[in-house]
Amino acid sequence: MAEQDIALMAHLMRRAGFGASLDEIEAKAAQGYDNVVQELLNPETQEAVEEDLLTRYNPSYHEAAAIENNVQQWVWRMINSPRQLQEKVALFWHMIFCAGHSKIDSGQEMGLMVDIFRQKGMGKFDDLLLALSTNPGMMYYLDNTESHKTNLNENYGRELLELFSLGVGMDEAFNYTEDDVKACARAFTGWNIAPPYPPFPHGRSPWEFRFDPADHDNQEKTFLGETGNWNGDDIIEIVCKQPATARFLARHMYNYFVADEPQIPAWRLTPPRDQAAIEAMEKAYWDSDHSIKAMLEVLFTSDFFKADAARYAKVKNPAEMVVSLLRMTGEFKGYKPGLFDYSQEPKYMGMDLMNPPTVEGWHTGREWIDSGTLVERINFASDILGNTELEGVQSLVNRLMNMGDKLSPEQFVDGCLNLTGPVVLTDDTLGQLISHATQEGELSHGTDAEKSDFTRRTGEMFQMIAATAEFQFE
Amino acid sequence: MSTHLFGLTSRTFKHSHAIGRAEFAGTGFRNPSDMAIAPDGTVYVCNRSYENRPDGVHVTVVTLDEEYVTEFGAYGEADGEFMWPTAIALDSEGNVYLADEWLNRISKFTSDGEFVSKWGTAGSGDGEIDGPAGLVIDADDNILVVDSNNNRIQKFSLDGKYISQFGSKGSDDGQFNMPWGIGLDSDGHIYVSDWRNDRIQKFTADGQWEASIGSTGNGVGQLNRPNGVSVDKDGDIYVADWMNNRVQVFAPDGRYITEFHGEAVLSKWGRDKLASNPDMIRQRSLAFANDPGYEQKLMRPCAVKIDSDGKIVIIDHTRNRLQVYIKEDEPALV
Amino acid sequence: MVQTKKDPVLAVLSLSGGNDGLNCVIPRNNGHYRDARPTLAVPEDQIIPITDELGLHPTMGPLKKYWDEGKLAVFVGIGYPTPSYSHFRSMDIWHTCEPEAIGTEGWLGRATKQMDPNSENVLTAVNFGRGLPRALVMDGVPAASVGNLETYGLLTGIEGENQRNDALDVFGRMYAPAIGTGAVMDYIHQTGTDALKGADILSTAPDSYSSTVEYSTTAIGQYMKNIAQTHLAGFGTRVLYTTSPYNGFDSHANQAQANAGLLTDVSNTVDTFMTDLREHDASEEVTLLLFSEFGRRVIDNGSGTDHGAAGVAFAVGEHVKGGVYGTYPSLEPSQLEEGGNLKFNLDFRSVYSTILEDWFQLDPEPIVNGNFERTKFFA
Repeated sequence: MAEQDIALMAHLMRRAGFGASLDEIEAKAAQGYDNVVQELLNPETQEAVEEDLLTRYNPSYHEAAAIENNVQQWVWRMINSPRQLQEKVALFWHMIFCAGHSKIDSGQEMGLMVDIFRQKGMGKFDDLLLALSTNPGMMYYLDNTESHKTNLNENYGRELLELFSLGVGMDEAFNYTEDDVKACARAFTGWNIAPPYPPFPHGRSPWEFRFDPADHDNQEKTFLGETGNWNGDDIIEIVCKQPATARFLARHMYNYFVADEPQIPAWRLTPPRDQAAIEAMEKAYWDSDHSIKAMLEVLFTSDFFKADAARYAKVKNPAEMVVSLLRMTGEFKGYKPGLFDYSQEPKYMGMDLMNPPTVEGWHTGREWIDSGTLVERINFASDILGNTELEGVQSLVNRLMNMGDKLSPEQFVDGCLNLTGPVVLTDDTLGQLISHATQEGELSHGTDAEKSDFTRRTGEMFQMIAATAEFQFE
Repeated sequence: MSTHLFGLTSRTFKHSHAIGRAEFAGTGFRNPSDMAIAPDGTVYVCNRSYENRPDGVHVTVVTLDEEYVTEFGAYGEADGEFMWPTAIALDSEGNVYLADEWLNRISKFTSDGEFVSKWGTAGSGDGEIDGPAGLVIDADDNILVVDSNNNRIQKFSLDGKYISQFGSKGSDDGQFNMPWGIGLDSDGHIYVSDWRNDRIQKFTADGQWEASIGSTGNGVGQLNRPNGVSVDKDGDIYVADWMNNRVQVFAPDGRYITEFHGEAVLSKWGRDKLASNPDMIRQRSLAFANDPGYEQKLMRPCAVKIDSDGKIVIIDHTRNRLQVYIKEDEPALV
Repeated sequence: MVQTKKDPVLAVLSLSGGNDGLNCVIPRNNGHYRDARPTLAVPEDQIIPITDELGLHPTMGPLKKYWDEGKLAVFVGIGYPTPSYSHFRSMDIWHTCEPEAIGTEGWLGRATKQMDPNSENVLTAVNFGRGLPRALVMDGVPAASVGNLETYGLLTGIEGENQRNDALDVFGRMYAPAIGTGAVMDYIHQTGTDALKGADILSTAPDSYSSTVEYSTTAIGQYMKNIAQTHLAGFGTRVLYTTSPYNGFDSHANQAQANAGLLTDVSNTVDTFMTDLREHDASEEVTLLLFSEFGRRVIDNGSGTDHGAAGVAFAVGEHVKGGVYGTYPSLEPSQLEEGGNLKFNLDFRSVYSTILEDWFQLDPEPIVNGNFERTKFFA
């Protein structure tokens, strides 16, 4: 297998999934890039998570009320789901359609909301928006439950346009007016929740969407230039045929899957990094009748995605940091106790899953990193990757030994970098690692003592690689 | 084999009451996984809880009149602790045996909850276990362990000496696919919930296959990952049909009799809880008016046991309570 | 305005889970209390009296000492309008001072920003525990979160002191300012250098510390010890924050036993902490605040109590003027809020405003989002 094929597959798996072990990357590279893209885009062709086993070994996952339990379950799925892009897309939407547990106060609702992103996240955008707009957790989070025919609350109407579909503006113009916000909010009056059970004594019930026609504003509304007696679903139809929506989706996908774009509020005035890439994805949106999958297909098969310039061009978000390391090292494949602690790690790194700070979500890119979160990232990564007792790390050590009876410090560092990414370092950083490796000289593994020394040095080198600035990127 | 005759009318059942509420300690349960009922009506419920609430992992001792007695055990690996409690059983002297599916061991406690001893070696050889999921103690005080990942039933003395085994992996008669619950009838026949084969298998006391009940599905007499199984004094078979959210009742010959979906009313502890949270009384009544079934019905029932009076007690796992049914001696007047 | 010899310092111990105010500061001869708490009422003869009406839970003897010295402020009926019964939301409200909107900036993050606008000291605010509480979150404010002070630092997984020191040397060089690698890389290099610097400084705290007092081995005891160590090391840290084990005070069941243990631990630890600082002549500039996100229901549920509204908080310190602040809410059933809760009458932002203004000498209004009556509890 050519090295560049492995590197490209590793890039695809980092972006369209949460990374993979080297064994898995090699197997996928052998299948051919385009075949793997098709597998990723068509999750139904891949095995599903075995729900009966999952809830047998984690019985509390079924209708789990506690938020920690839902976060843990999601992290488990990120690690274990054979349908990697489905989980990656669920996180993508969770980072755009932000609603948080600190207000919703029901772990189960957060779990159900993420499941919508999982199930509909690659379908037709109209369907996804409708599912979102009938999701009781979101209706509550953005106060649509407090929006009435006689007493309008514009929150959901506004965020639907500003943060969930059109965006404030593009090409320096504004995409909608305050009147459009009001019309949108009026169309969603009556989109509410049936009375749910309280937490005691047997736990909250799953919330149910309920349309209340008596509370719906049945008057004519003018929205984005179209006049009619619009209901919420009409609004979604109108929104989905706006050029701004295609642009908005394309930029978000580029930002999440290809390279960090400027923060979203800057999008009206700042053109995309790669105009042609955005246009290609927009075209896919129109040609496919609003299919998210079609846009992703263009993205993953494009040169702008495969290009060297796109590799390690994104700061890993905390979930990516944690899950990719667990996948690379084979930890928490299957069912065993102890995942809870790991599932909290993204929070320590500044990404409290299922509880984004506001409806605007997390600030991404370099803003993931401050002196506190960097310590968390480096220590977690180096602890996992340097733990030579883990099955996956042991297998990397063995591969390194198979490179030859004796390794020069340069070969050793080069081998370690290849096995853990392949990670690409700046010359300065590379020089530091090589000079560090040179202090202890050549490596061999003929005797037991040499083997154990080899293993120790590999673990340490892995820890230092995990501590590099470059390792913060994917 | 299962034949489905609607209106097999020789038995009538009625719902009696519910016990418990969701609680990590004291007067409630948290993800209860199994129970054992002593002849005096004392119930030992093992709570599985979940990882970030290890305080919920213990055995709760209650009566069927919903009197709290005590609790014992804790999450961990030390003596008297457990991590994934799956099954619990009582010997003729009232000692308590608890299976831990993760640590692959059986722990013994006195009826008061004092730790006595533990046994179990992980593996697949004779007398080794991998994922003990069900326990039952027979009339001779031998203990049958559902050795789930080894797809077999093993018989041990109460102190863990290996005696015998039967079963292998597969879907033929007498084979298993990750079996879970186990029960005995008064003649000593063994009933095993063959979990991933969606059936109950009946064996003689020495492990000869006799019959199978059920097939995959959610129809009458069909099963979806059955868990607990018990047999009453008349030989009727009760199966916790886990993923179908019901308990099915079969006649001794395997014919379908009826099914329970749950009809819980508020338990005593549930009423106490609401009394101290008056805002929730109103919220609950609105919700109840909208959908009474949510609260009444069984959700992932995972064990069903019969007490010495013939009461049928179901662990309503997700709702963190027990639901009790009564089999009436005479058919009810309708 | 309080004058301290050294820069004033605030230590915070957050009692996570909703501490039951009614069984902590007890209206000891109130008949409604006994009616509402058939399972959990503390017998009158066991309560430690502090006023004619109120007394402390029997396990809180060590705190009574500070009451007698006039250095314990007891805040009763503390809360905010339209209470949230969600741990997360209510704690967020206490952190951000935003009961209506969802806030992103913490009150102590804002205070830190005002005290050290250019982040000249990476240790102006330090949290002990995993993950930064929102109280300390503020753009541009580097707040370290220390899981374990004894082992805090980078590359802590490398065994062997020499190996680790070598690795840290390499780290220092790898993160040295890079040229021409792009703005994001430059930023990460700078951040890595800051982190290393902060860790280097913090790691000296335990070494330079010695004391005759012994903290309890619980998380509360150990983190309060870390706070004392960091304060005594003289890094110029102004805000020291820690949280008791997550939701430990969430006493829905078996409350009598569980809470007695927690209150014992908290009271002993506060006493140990104050004794430690006094022994080192370093108590004068420290105020310690204890709070919880809410109190609990008035009526017990047969074994515990469920989420409630108004609760209690405490401040301890040499400059604290002892006394009860706020009015104990009525327990009369007709006077309870919907849900059977105590009504608040002392806004927590009043207490914060007083700390900010009188202790830190900052303008509280932009920090707590409004002008709240001051609770003059400093002498």
